[in-house]
Amino acid sequence: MDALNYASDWLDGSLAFRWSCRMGVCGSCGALVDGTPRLTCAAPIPETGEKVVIEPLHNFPVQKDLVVDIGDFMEKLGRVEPWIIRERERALEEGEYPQKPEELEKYDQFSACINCMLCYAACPVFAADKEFIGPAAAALGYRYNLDSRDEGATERLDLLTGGAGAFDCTFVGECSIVCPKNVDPALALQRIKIDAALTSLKSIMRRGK
Amino acid sequence: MKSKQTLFEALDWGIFSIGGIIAAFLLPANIVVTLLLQQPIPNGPLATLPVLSKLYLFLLLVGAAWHAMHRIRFVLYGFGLSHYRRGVTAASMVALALIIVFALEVISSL
Amino acid sequence: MIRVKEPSSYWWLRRRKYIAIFLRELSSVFILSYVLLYLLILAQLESGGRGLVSQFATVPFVGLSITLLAFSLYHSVTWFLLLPRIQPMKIGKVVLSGKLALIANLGGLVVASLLIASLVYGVQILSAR
Repeated sequence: MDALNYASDWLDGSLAFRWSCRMGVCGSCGALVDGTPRLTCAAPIPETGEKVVIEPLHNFPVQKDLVVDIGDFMEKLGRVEPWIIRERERALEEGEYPQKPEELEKYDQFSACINCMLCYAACPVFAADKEFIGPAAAALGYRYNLDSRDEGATERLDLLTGGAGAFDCTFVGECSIVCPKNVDPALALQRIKIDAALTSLKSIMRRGK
Repeated sequence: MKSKQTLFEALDWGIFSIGGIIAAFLLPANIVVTLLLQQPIPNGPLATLPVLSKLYLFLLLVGAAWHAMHRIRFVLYGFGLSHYRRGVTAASMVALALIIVFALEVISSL
Repeated sequence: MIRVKEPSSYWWLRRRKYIAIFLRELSSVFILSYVLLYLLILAQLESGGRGLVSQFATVPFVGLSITLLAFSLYHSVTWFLLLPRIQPMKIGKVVLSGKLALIANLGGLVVASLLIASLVYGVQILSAR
């Protein structure tokens, strides 16, 4: 990132690139560094002075230089209903929804996503089919299925698997490898498949009665 | 409320997974024995109850075929055919049905 | 004038990691081929023909068999590497690392193979004394 800022300040003022927090929490600075999706703020320049190639992330329309259009992801994120769904909301007087540490542990890692899009850039399924729901949207949606306060898992499962949904994932696993926040979207996607398969089995057995 | 598409994909994936476990553990030995050791006919103690060896063959071959066909379909998606999802799925299901019928015929006549 | 090259959707075909996974997916073609080949062999034997069986010892057929076996083993190994990422393998309360889980599964593969060879196909594993 320092190199990009140096280039912009001293070499070519027209260079366009996103950056903000400089510490790996805002998710703005995703780019390909020597072919690998990285946060530029987390990718050190080699001390040997070798050439480093920085390119815009794979699989996204390039607006200018290193700036890509992630509007498609924002739409997918909204589609998976990433919020607590309840049959009845508690009134304020009834107090908060208590949650034990073990219950938090279940979905915690999936809530760490910073929407940096490195996982989408690493996914060959998304490369071939831009309709694919993708790792981050799936992980963020699944995070709510795992939340003890949520009651919308069945409905959300349909949203996560519909269209070019979770079942299009072929478990390449690169999404989890490139994630800078140690989210495991590959795990979320496989669990979604398992959950959907089990609920489908149950619904068939219920119909049979 | 499960949509029909999700139901179909979930069941297909379920059988794919079971087929994968079957293929992973059973297929290598089968290839060695039937092709390299040149003994394609089940003649072991299990074959004294023909229904058992036939069941083994059916589960192994259909399981592996289902698993393989599912993967082939998704490889095709990876090369751009995801825009023709219905056609590709229909073709792969027809091919699978033909293989299952063929397997039933061959194995039952053993 | 800057010419912008349209990025290819197949960037992953140029990266070793992705090619290894692509080969994993490709193993399915070989697995399906074996299923069809085996069914054809059985069908032919049932109708009295020996065309395919007579080819067993030839070099091309042995080459084909080894190729089918190689891809089948590659499928097994990659499968054993994937599964623990979803459901960690445990012995009692001890969680096995990726490498140990692979070894455990390979052990299972060996045991299953010996059982199939001897029980289903009647291959003599231990020489009769």
